[in-house]
Amino acid sequence: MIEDTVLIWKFKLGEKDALRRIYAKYKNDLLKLAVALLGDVNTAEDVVQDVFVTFAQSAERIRPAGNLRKYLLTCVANRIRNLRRDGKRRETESLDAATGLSSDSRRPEQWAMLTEALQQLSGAMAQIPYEQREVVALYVEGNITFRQIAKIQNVSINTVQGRYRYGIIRLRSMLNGELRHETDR
Amino acid sequence: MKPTDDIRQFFRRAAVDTNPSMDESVLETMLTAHDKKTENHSGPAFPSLRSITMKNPITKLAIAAAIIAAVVLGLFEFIDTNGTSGVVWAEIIQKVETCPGAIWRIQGTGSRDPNDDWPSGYEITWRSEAIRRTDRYRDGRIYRTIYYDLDTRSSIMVAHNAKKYLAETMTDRQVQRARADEDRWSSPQGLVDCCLARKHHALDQKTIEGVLCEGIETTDTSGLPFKSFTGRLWVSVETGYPVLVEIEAIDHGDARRTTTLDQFQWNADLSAENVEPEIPADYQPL
Repeated sequence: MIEDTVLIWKFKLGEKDALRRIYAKYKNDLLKLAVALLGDVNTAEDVVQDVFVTFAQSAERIRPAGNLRKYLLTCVANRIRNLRRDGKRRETESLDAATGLSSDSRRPEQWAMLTEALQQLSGAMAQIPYEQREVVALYVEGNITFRQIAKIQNVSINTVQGRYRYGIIRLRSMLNGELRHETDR
Repeated sequence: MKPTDDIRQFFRRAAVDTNPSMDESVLETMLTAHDKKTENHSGPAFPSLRSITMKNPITKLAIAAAIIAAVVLGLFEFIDTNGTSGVVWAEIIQKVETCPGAIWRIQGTGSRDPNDDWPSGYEITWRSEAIRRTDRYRDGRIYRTIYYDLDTRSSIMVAHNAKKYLAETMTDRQVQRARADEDRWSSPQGLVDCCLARKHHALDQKTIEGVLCEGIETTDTSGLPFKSFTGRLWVSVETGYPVLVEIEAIDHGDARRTTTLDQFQWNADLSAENVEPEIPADYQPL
């Protein structure tokens, strides 16, 4: 936490090294969240790159307090929500439909390399409604509180808790076999 | 085992790694964006009437003449037509921008920021040509102080909640960056410019904290990244300085943010000996 405060402070002063360290520290977390929410690696890579580029341009807006990881993860979630909204507006293909992680859909040079577990998780997450998916991912992976997620989703805490419960039940039913292995470990 | 521990463990095992050559490429894109932003950053992002007038003598004369003409002809909507107005609105921006030192409080909310604790927190900002200090409070307790003295190149960050501090000498580039660092959404200069530069209308006089004020309100979103925007600027009839600035904006992603600037102290003495934070003896260097 203090380390992040110092990084933000130095970043605000224009130190490139601080930006490099922030990137190195959080790129994997951001990519993981984006893949879990989107199910599509190419779009996830684009989203995370956009978030980092926007962050690099926003030194004057970043406050040298608060949790940087939560901030960046929320930027990813917000960016994806905006993409979904824009996608719906254009009535083009739904991001929900993009569940495939097959190699033929990948770029020639991929940035994110997923473990098998992340591919399974991403596939299972794609089967649950987006709002539930977002709550589960932000709560479990981002350590973002229900109260904070309620603010992000602009709904009540009860609604968020309900989405979490339903999301976990559905996720567990889809990952049943894998989770049994998990408890055996 | 808690009911969701199995899910948590699976999430933990679901990992991602990155291709080093692509890392370099993404990082390069990020650093280039940072450089471009830094190069382009030369003060408040809102167009400042005063800055515009200073760009070249012809523009300066033309715009100054236009302002005078507008005032004389009563074209500014916010000039009280019954002649009782005590506020010379055309001078506000210049007064704010040339004020040698000011202190103010800022509070606000942002609906999509998980770190946003502003409903229970606020910042006090000190600002002059050379001095920048921000104290951040949460639940009535100070937990962060950021301080720059751009003349002596001194920078101090104090994490009160952790009883740690960091004091360093700033480089030339850092001084330059700090001088340019101006969040248009949290500085009086940026917000006053924003309110006055757009289409607006006068509000009824009201007394704020015992000070008789005149106000304007703008809901003009042109050129702003918002689908809805309301800015209100209240200025003391007696001093001609802002007393309260209120902003509410909703962006195209429905994220809502509010900002309130108040408790202004204009023309404050911000000499370093008055403003430099004292480090308590039990605080450790970072």
